[in-house]
Amino acid sequence: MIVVGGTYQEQVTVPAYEEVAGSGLRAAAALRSQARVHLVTALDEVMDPVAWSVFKTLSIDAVVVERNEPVGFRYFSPVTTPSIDGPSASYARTLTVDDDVVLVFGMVEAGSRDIRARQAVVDPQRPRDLTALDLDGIAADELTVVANAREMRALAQAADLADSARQVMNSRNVVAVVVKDSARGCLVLTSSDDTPRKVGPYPTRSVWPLGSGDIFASGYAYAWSEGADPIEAARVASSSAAWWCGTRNSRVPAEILTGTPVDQVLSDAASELTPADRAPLVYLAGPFFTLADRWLVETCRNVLLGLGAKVFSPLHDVGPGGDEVASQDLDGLEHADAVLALLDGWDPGTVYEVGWAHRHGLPVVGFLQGSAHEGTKMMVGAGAELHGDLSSALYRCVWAAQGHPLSPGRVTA
Amino acid sequence: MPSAVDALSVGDVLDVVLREEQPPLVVAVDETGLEVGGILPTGQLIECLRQGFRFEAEVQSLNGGAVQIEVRAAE
Repeated sequence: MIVVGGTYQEQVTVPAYEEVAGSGLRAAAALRSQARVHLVTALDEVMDPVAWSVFKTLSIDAVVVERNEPVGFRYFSPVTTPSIDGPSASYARTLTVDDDVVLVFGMVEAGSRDIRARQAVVDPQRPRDLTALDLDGIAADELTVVANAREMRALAQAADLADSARQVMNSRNVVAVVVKDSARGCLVLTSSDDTPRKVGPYPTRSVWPLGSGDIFASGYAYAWSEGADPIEAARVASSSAAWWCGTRNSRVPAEILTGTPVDQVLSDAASELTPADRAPLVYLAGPFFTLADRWLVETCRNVLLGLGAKVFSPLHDVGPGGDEVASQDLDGLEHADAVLALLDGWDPGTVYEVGWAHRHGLPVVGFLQGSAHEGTKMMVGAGAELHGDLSSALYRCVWAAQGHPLSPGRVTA
Repeated sequence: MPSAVDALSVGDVLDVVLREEQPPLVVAVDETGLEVGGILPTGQLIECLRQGFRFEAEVQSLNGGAVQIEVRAAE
């Protein structure tokens, strides 16, 4: 198998992280337990020496074309939209690839490609400005398009995911479309069945989401190339992504790639969560007095919506006010499936909402960077799961809202 | 076959060593001088090691042969 994709500098501010990675490199690394995988990628003179060190450390065979400037992704948090360094980068030589199976990621760099394969998996991988499915330069007998929900909606200009997938299915030689819907799993549409099938996520105790889509695509490509049908392959992909999210180990174990569910390999992973038919509703409890408070509430709301949840946010759905807001806030809480509590600062209103939620049997996930264990005793004792890592708190909350049982305790970042 | 990684525990501190070959490799070495495994380097880390700065790596977590470490300036 050949993986065509980017090798980029990746940097996260919180939690601190810096690595040479990128979709292509990460996907090739994911499959190194099994197949003889080659990476075709682009490098510039700045990244070239360190990238070759990384390739060698990970035992990746790479073929490289030269690009004209460095490319990197800078995230404030793994769940926020990145800034891209080098968005105008390009490579001059055509990326030429011919193999039985090829996994193709969209790249930041502009340039031509000549890719031939019996089976190709294409993941457009663009954080923004995606308007059309670019299959130029890809000739495959059978093609699967794997994209996340936001990309799929942008590709099809349609709000409904199933409709979007059907539109993409009309592209030449596409036999399957897989829509990654993050915390809600994925939808799989095949050319032989007009009804999309759901494959659920495998919840993990902690979640490192950056790069999970790359691992998902590589798991799918491997399983599909070994004869799995698209739905089985998507299940392997979901397991592979969970392995990555729970361990940050890019080398997906052979058992997972060959169909063993991740929960039989990784003790921190749960069995496949049956995706809810409706979007789960999360109540976002937290103070909104300072700019920092507001920023966190705004970020969490946007991320939760992106994870496929609906959100009741007292700030957005009721607004600031006096005593009269209490009953309206609690009305919202009553209809929620789970609560995300932003606990740093120990705002009395937030603590009250957590208590109310517990009394009414709602699962509570807390985000708390301070280690005020004395203050957390009642919450954890009553069933709350507290995370020091924002990504983990957000994903765990959306899973809890879909019925995944929480594991009460404190998970430090 | 057990590897050097199997003997590691969270909190262990390893030396960070640059092996100048083509391409250069950064490796973690235990107190007996045994090479435990490769470290995914950044360009800055390689450059600083070349300039003679010393670093150490503390094991943060262990998962299926992959070890999360925190690399910091050695005391």
